Amino acid sequence: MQIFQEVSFLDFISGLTWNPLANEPAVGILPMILATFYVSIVAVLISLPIGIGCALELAALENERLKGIFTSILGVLAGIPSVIYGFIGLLVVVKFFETTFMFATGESILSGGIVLAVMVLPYIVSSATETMEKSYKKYKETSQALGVSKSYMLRALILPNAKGAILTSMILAFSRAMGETMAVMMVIGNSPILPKLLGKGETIPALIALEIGTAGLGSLHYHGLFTAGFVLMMFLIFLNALFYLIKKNLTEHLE
Amino acid sequence: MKHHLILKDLSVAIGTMEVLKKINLAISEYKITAIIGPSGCGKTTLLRTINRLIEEEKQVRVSGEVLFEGESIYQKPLVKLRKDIGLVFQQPTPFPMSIYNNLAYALKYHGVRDKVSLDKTIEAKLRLCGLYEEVADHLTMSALKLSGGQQQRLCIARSLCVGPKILLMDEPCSSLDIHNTKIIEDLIVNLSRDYTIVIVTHNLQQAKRIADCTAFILGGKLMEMSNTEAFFTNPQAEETKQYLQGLFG
Repeated sequence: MQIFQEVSFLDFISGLTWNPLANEPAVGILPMILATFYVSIVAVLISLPIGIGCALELAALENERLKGIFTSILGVLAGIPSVIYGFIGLLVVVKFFETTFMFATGESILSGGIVLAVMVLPYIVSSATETMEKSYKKYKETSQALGVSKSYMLRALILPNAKGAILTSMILAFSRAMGETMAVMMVIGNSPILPKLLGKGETIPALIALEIGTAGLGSLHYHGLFTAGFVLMMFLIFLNALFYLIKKNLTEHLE
Repeated sequence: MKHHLILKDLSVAIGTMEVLKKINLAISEYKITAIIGPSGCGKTTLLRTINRLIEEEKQVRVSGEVLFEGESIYQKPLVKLRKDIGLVFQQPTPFPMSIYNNLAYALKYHGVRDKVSLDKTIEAKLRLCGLYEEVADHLTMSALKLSGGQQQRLCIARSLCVGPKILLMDEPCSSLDIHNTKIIEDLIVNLSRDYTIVIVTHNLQQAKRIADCTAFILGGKLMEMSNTEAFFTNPQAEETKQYLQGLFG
């Protein structure tokens, strides 16, 4: 933490300019922190409804063969390297914004969010499906004997009962989204400015990955990048703890 | 006496196994009919056929007729049929939600939405099952926190909430202790004033205590059916005599 001999911690996380190589070096990572959160939130917002829908449908699927096929597709999705996602993002999402909406550049927070959403989808689906499937099997007959339809059962019984699992899957997706480097870096534009939904931005992992190779060993730049990584990790730990507490509160009265 | 439910030559096969063979049975209104027989003889399948839960399984073939109030059960919409013919399972399976919501669950689906009539029905059914005094102050408590006997009574109340005419019970006391069994048996006798009840049991004493009629099934065939007193004092079929003496099952 040698960097804090030169800049205060507060300046470091609230500074708006990142220019460690200038004559008067400035190392503020607020834009990157915000961009990291922004992309992750967009990604989770997009993938959560889709993911939960998929999970519900998968849990209630009677056809075992079809279920096997879908599960393995999800497995494959989770296994695709993130560079490939980045490529697809560039070719599809970014191109789409550029050609359809005539943007000067399609590289934006939104593109990053969309690509990330696809990436974290398998995590959401697989962790939510497990719980839903269990409770679906357990209560299926009881519910049917009451003359209740399947869709009502999914909505009124399985979904509320899976609150905990949904939250867990959200944490997982969010942590993963925040730490994702390659795919995001390729579609987000990478300029250290305050992020806007349709504007460029740069996340902390992208910042580190892009600049660590050129930073002089032991320089302010070098320490700045490492500290940025440390800040990211602190955020993740803090968020996980927070989610854990919420989840405990949520599920406690049902145990 | 009116026959509420009539089974005509009912056969059920699951895969290559014939579970029920040409069952003929008439169940009278507002009576308790007990179905006894050794494990695996098809008692549960019989109940599941009556409210068509059996169709959810694979490779099931049902032949013969089941008439409910004079009408084939296959002519009624499934939702309506299951609303009219409730089923209580062997294991109490309360939903993982509050006591109140357990009861409101099916009611809401069947169109009861306003709070006042929901409250009224739920209170009435809880009282009927002798549960109201015990849980009145804890309606928002999770149903999973109730004791086994209370859970089973809650499940019965839940089945009653949608207003069935017939209540099928699949060994409702088999996972309960003697005290709770007694409570549920009293409840069943009470309920038979307003509901037709078919109860599957492997407990001969239970059938003797509460049933008006008793039917004995062996190997998927109906061996004998008569009113309970005659059934136990003067069984007609040879198999029934042997079963009552404890020779098999």
